[in-house]
Amino acid sequence: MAFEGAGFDRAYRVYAGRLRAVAYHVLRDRDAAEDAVQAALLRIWSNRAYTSERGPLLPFLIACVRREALDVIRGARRRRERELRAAPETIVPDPTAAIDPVEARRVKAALERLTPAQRDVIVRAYYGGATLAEIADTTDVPLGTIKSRLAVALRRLGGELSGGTP
Amino acid sequence: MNQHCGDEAELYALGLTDPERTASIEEHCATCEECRTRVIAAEAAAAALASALPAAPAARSFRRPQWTSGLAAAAAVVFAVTSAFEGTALHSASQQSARTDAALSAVAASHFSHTTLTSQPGTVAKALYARDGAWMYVIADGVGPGAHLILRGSGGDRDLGALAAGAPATLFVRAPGRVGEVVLVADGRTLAHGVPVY
Repeated sequence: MAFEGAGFDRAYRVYAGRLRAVAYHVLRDRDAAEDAVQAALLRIWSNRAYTSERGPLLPFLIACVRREALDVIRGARRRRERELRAAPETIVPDPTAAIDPVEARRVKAALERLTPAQRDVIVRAYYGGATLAEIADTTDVPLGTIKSRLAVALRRLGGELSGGTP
Repeated sequence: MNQHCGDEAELYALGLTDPERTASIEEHCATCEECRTRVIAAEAAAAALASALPAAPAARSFRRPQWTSGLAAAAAVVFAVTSAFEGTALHSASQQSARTDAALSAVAASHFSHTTLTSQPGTVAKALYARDGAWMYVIADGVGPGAHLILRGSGGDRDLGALAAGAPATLFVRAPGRVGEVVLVADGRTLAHGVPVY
């Protein structure tokens, strides 16, 4: 049955924390992060954007919240606002401080099995919050190459995490 | 847009496509199973990356209502309902899908509403409720432990239960019926009160 009181309450808590962490990592402002989470959920709900065909719910929500947060950053950049900015440091997060330490250790190990260039582009794009153009600029690699390298790297990471071969 | 997504499936999953391309990818994936499957796989990998992020600092509970929009709160609750499972998110896709389908149908059919309760300074409380009285969900910021939700009626008070502590503190009440005034009480003190409109 859909309305299980304990599960209902508990599930909300489980998701809200993760979604806020995703938004906060991009926005570095807890109020802006909360707004981004709510805006993403509202958009999904009002557009009826989620059906079971769309795959598991949590990864879908995480992607929507991150997209929402990045849109806020892009908007702020366009308006030349400085108060909202992307995470300045490009570092692989510390699994001991992670929201899911067990999964974080798996991710770290999987990242280490990628080539240095693949790992670097994922870390810069995901954890460093750099735009594709910024990565191309910093690494002096053409933008098209960065795009395809990041796509291949994420696919390979997925393969490593699901136990398949790259 | 009938073109396959190619590498942009992964870039989309990472939030790195511009709004126009995002919209065209979503439109395409609604009908193309191949690209949808690729996006779902990419989102799973991106979600794994997210699991290594540190937690966000706790929300400011007094300065600013956490639930700035009742509708957004309702949306959050809908997604909580859709995922009313036991434990963590590591369930199989089919299990989760079946539950999500059932919950989405139930919520879509239940037409919920919301009201902001009149609160003491420092407290922000909202009630979301199914208009047929099937459930009520109370969310309150700025309440300490031990707060109870009381149903005030002509026949006397009925205690609907204690809020689970947290920021926000919450209580889900199953089948309260169409209630009159609800009051949030702690240590004999009224923190908030309001009347749902059905």
